[in-house]
Amino acid sequence: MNIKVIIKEIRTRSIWQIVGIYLVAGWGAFEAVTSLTETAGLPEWFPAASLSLLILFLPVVLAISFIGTDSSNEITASTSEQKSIKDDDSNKIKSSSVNWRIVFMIGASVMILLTILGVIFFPTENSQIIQRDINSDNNISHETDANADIATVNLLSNIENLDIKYFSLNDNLSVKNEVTTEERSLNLNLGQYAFEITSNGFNNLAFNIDVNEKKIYDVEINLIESNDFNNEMQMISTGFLSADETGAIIKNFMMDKFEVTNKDYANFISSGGYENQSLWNIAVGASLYDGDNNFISNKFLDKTNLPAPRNWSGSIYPEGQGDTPVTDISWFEADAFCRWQNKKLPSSNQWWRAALGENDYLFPWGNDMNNLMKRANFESQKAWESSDENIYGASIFGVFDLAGNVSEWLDIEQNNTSTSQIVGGSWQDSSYIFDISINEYLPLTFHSSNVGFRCVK
Amino acid sequence: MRKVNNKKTFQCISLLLMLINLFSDVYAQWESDKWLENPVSDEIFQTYLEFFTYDKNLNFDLNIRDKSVTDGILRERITFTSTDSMAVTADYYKPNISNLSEKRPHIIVVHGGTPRGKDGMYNRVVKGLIRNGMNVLAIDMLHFGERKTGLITTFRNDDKATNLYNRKSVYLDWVIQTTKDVSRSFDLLVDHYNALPDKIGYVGISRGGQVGFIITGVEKRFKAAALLIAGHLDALETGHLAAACPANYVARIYPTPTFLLNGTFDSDYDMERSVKPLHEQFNPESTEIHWMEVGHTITDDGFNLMNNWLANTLR
Repeated sequence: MNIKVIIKEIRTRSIWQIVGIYLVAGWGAFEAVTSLTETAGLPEWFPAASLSLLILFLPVVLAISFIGTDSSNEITASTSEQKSIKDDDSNKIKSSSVNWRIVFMIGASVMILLTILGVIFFPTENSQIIQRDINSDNNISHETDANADIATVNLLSNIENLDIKYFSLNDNLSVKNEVTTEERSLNLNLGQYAFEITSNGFNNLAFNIDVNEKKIYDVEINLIESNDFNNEMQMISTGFLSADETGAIIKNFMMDKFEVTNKDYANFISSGGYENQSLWNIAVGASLYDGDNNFISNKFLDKTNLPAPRNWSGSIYPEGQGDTPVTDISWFEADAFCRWQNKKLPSSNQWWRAALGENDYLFPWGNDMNNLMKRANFESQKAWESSDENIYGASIFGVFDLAGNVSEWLDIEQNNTSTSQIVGGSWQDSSYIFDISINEYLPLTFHSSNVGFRCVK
Repeated sequence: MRKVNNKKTFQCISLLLMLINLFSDVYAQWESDKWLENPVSDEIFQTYLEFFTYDKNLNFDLNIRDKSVTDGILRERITFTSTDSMAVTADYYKPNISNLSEKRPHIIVVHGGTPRGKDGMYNRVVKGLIRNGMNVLAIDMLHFGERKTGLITTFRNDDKATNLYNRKSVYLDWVIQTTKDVSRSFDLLVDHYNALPDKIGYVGISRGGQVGFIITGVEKRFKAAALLIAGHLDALETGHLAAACPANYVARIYPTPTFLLNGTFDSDYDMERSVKPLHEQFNPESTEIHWMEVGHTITDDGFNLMNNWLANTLR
């Protein structure tokens, strides 16, 4: 059978019309389902499921209409002049009515199937919404009894002597249990945990883990040898970002445990940081300040016209704020400080890797939103001091205050730019600003009381 | 002959419908932008106003759940009935002194898209207003704060866009409900807290500002409106129905004195695309516009500007 014959058969059997009708009707049904999903709050997967069913049924409709159509009537009519035109018409009508019935029956079957699916799943979702009344979040409790689900947390480290202390936390972050152990494999009830790991000669590591699934959690414990160069830094292991669909590997690096403080920055100034031009990105700066190569001494001045952050006076930080993050500095000053410490500003990938690891968490500590104000500094009146006490906001790598407190400058992505990104949100912002998809770019010369930085190497 | 015509008709209709479907998102965006150029007529606008009518005689069922004093500020945590079966959670704030002037202005504060709802407003908004001589009623919008329903779970921008802001009919319902909640809040302040009706203002931040464009276009009793870091569409919004479009309301806020504050580097409400075109629709006689060189945030200087403006306007 050659192609011409097949096409003729298809035309004779009215397949094109049936396909057309099916597509139009299917499109109409799909639009109705989409609209219903939106207005009636049906499950999100409902339109996709409907579309799949409609596509699945298309070949079935085609096959049935092809088989179900008897073309002999038409062929006979066209070849025999003995048949009357009236008979021919009546045969066509009979034949196409068979097709119509088939198409409508299948369409009806699809709709019935969709309705059944909707009825099965819709009440479930809806009842979930109804059950969550005012303050419902406070009623969610993790089971802690003997029958509760157990997960295994493996602490992976090459260091022999580790002092491991962990805290099992209640929903309000109060400590339920405090356990000191040398065990590296821990069977834990599902819930929120904070860990403190110490070893002689190494930086301490404090981190949170949200044990919310009955599974094995492998946690790499990479302690950094404690010395003058690595003081207050944490190791971020090699890995990827769950939000990065390319799966690009981010090589291991070290990151400051805290945001750079006013005290740290005062050391930079007193060591002649503003005079040492080798620390500064002169090329980019001069281009932004109309060729002014002296932009450092001309632009980056405090309230008394001395080189220092804009909110300082007499090149001295505001009283009592030695341990709060330095702010009111431009990207250039943040960049120069990091270079002074033989470090650099983090890239976006590095920063988010340190914050979320390979998890798809909402926040560095996990998904807990009930204790936002205890874990992170959002929607407040000022930045808080960098302190080991803020343990409940630490990321899995032991980096503190990544969410909130002050937004942090990132490194520039290329040299011919006038802007750089800030991330993490600050005490001025709402918690939803902590979001890898938010890209807020500010001029490199920008300074504000809610923007600071930390460094990596 | 008839058969051939039918076939062509089917093909054309199919193609047309599929093209419309394909470009529906683009169309939605364009459709929303068109109201920036040409807001709906007064005749159509009158039909929108019917959406926002409510039963003024409904009992408030005011429930004061808790009273506490912090920083010299008395806070009442309350619940009241807004519309049938719809309870609004709110906080009423005033200085904790007995001989408080009854002429103090009152401000209804509506938060942005934060999971904490009204509670997120205390430190940065409420305290400043109280210190500038105003009492405050901060309310939770439906799906936020104490009125979480599960519709939004993570409160990330994409979650809010997918489940609320970009579901056009759901969003319109939500806008209508929020507007009614604010109108009922106004009634509550007058009836239960002895607020003077000619000294009540509105403060809306981010989403509270965006819906505030609509609220203050409908609720004409406000004597001042401060709408901060808000615009026509946020970064992830793809469009909305005409009755939920700020562009159809902002010119109608006049003659209510209006204070607008936005950040030039705001990545959520883009200055050129989302904010400036909307600002052009306001009546300049009653509108004060401020730009600050910040992102999607409000500095202390910004709040000071607003507080002074409100105190002077509602004096």
